[in-house]
Amino acid sequence: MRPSDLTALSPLRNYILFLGIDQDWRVFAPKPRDTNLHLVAVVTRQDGTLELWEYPRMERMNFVDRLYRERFRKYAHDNVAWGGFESFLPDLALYIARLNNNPGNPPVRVSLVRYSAPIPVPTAGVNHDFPEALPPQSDTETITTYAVKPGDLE
Amino acid sequence: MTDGSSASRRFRPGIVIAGLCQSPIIKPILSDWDRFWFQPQSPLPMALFRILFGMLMIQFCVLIQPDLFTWFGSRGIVSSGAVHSFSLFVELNILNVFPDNDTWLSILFFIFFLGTISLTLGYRTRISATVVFLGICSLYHRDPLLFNAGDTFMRQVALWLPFSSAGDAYSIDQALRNKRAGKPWYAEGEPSSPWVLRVLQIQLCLVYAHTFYGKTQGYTWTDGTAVYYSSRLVELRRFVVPYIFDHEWTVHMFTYGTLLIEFSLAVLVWIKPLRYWVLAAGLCFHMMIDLNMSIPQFEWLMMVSFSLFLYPEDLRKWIHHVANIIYWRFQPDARQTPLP
Repeated sequence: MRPSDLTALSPLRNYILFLGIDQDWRVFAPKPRDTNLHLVAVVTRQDGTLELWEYPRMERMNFVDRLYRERFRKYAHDNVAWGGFESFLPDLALYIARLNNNPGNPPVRVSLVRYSAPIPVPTAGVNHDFPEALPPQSDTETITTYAVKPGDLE
Repeated sequence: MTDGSSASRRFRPGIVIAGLCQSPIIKPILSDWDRFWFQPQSPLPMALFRILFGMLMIQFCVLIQPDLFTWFGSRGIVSSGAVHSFSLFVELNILNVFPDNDTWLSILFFIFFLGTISLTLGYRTRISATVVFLGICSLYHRDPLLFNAGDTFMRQVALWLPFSSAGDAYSIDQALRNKRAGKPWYAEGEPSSPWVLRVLQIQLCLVYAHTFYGKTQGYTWTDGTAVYYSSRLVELRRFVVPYIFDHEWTVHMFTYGTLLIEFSLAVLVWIKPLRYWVLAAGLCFHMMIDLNMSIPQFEWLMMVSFSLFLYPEDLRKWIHHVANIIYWRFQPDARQTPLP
């Protein structure tokens, strides 16, 4: 529940949302996420070939790149990779299609796949081999498939 | 039959309230309330906060600029249509006033960037702070999924800054006023009502109070393993800190320590003898997180906000000390004549 949802503040709700000062301070609350994930797009081209495009992964970046590209993590890993943001997914798929456009063999379909793995429950507090002990992110779920329409890539 | 005596017995709330305000119980409370919000105070803490916050806002612009069109452009990852269908409310977004194209986006972003610089320098401080608020609010409403809790706090701050005395010390505005008044350029402005400072202090405490309460509702915080999970989010990991996150007792200590520090920053920071100890613990806490986790700007913003809790007399003393060191360094002959 956000403060603007409180009955006492409900008359002000529209003004709070208008000014963008609605608040919800839940940094790692009520619990930190217990899943690691990354996103991969499968781009199908006109001739039927498939290509993989990997969404930016923070753990493979250096210190400076992480500073600049943090928004990619926030956007996908904390938001659109999970349910409730379906209206944003076609735009993301279209963006990937544009990035991978080849006029001679354009993309006709983009599928966005989430690869994830749960973080193991700590056992007796001994996890010396971190991060190698983390399981591979092999649970898959296709979160959207977008058929590229004529004119999308113009 | 009515007469003057019945009229004089009529209930008059104003008189009752005035009488209550003069009662020996209520009067001191009202006096303290008035002093807390409105007793004139030096603008130094707000000025220091303005400079540090402004620098973070400049950094915000620098970090987001390379992907400006990716995030906010007409052919970016998120279209205006998708955002409009997601949010059903009317929201303040200057970008909506102008055509949805990258030229206008660039122009408005440049104005926003200039606003962050002039806010930091304290030039036309109130106008600059307003520009910064409009900028960050518009970007948020253009693409709300990009922004984290730190950005939310930035919007709160930017909303209140135009009403504050942030430009009354160590600013171009104040230097110009001093020049007109024949004072040294660095002289701070007159003490003024600190109500905006109080609002921001309370806002910061609400952040910690809310997140503390939220954490107490989650089982990993109460069973002491939350820090284990947060340290294993590979996308956030900056350095692999040895030992600390690999042992049960350290994981428990840091999990419960987080709760204790967040509670302290919400409540104990108001107790004068404890304030600097709590702030020091908070600094260590955020630096530790920043060392271990890559969440750009968030930890720095929280640490910068601690300057709101510095007492003006202490701040003045420290600034004077630093200024003297610099003065002596560049004018060795003046070692015996400290700055006025």
